[in-house]
Amino acid sequence: MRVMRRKGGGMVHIPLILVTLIMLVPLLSIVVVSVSSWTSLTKSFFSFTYDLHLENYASAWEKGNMSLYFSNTIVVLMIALILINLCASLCAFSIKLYKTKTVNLIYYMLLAGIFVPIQAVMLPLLQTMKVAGLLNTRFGVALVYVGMNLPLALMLFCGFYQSIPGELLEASMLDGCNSIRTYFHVIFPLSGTIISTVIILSGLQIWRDFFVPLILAGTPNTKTIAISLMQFVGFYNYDWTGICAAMVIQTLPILLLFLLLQKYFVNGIVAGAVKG
Amino acid sequence: MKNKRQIKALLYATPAVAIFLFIIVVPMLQSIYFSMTDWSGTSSEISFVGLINYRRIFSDKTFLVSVRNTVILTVTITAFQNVLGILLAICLNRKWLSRRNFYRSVLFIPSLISAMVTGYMWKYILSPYDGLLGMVLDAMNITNSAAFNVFSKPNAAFITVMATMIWQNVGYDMVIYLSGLQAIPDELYESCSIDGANPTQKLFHVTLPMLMPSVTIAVFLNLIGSLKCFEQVYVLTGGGPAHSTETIATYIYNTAFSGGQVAYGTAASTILFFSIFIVAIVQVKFFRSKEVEL
Repeated sequence: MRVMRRKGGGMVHIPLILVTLIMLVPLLSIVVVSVSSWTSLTKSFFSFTYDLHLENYASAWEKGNMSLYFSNTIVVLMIALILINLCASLCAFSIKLYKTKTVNLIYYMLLAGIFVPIQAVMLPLLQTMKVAGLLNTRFGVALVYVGMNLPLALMLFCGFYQSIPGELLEASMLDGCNSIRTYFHVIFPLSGTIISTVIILSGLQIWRDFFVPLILAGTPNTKTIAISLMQFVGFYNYDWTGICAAMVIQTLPILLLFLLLQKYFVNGIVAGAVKG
Repeated sequence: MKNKRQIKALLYATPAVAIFLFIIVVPMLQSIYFSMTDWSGTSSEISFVGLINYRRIFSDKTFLVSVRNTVILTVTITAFQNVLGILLAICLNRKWLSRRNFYRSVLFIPSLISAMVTGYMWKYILSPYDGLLGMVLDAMNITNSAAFNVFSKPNAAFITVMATMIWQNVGYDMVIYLSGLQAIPDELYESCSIDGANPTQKLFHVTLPMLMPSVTIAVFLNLIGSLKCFEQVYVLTGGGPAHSTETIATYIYNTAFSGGQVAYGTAASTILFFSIFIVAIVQVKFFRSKEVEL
């Protein structure tokens, strides 16, 4: 036992390497297909020539309408993330500072939102958005994401604000700050970690979500990046090298961010789960 | 003074409440209302029909199949993900294990990728005629790629859907369990060693009981996620062949959005909402009672 430990694992590595391969091989094979030519791939699988067809990416970018969808996604992300953080932290601040029955009730109402399947609200929402003139606008799509992500964000902010000592708020009120100034000068600057957690969790959800653009985005102007894959799906045939390239394009930003900010991602996801 | 407090409190909550009402609550109530009408989605006439849609839906074979599938899928993938997640977390929590950060990252990566992307990835790998696995098997003369078609057989298609979901989410559970394991104090294990406990006893009498809060959370998230599961099924099978892989979520989509039976679809989604609500509450109550306090 001792010897095995000093070697750094020994037998434990065998199942772990197996699992790692199960995880990695499909992902890597997609990358390989995304840079190979379809005709040589189908002709004979093992004799495909090792030349890079990077033009697959260029044509996938073109065909997937990626320039537009990327900018849509970024606009939607910005609006949604700002609104989620602002609304949730203000609401949590109110719960912390005033502790009235009404706001507590509001808290539980919002938490129940976690159980609402998005399919259930989509159809009536479509009608309401049409009436409100928000259909086919990026702001409308962003608002839907705000509604979907508020419950978790509120829970995270509330959990954090409960840990702030009440004396801090009282002290600032005694010093003559009104509640708005207390929020902006005392509470908000303390919320950095929660804001980053909310940005990671909600940002991931919005980036990956495909149901909202599938139903709500009738025009290309509001479609987000996740839906771009649909451009490659024909009625009878699939453009596989194109799909693979498009998948790599839309996954790469997440993976790069993850590798750069690994600690924040894992902490954020654990915080989101534990509070949930 | 007291009134002023009330008003101020509400004022701060207003933006969140307004958006939440507009996006979630009102549509949810409308959806419950539509489920008691005969609205088709396009007609301007709506008449109230009471609970007829609910009575009809429970005699609809496709809906019953989708309920059965959702239950099987939820139980199976929750069980697999949690057992595998705990095992992997225990393996990867050993400080003497080399390259453990590499393993952790790789196992976690699939859960970062959108279900849409992994869905198409597996669809490509497993698709007949031009799929990757088929081509490899062809090239190695093992089987004919045309004969290799998991999506044409009901059971194979359903197992494939479940397997891809487990593949995607197991790393997520592992991360939750890793953080749970790291919260267990080392002294507990030391005092166990002094008392002469062997590794198996430590696992069953220290690790697993102390991990129960993480189990509650992971099971909760898995249950909600798989009850609502849509993307994987939509991409991989679209509910077919012959509705054999239909889940409640795809059933709602197929009836309300592409089938034009709005009233019917909203009845299904109301049922889904209350099922998720009840299942989640019962689960949390039950698992919380199993947690131990130090």
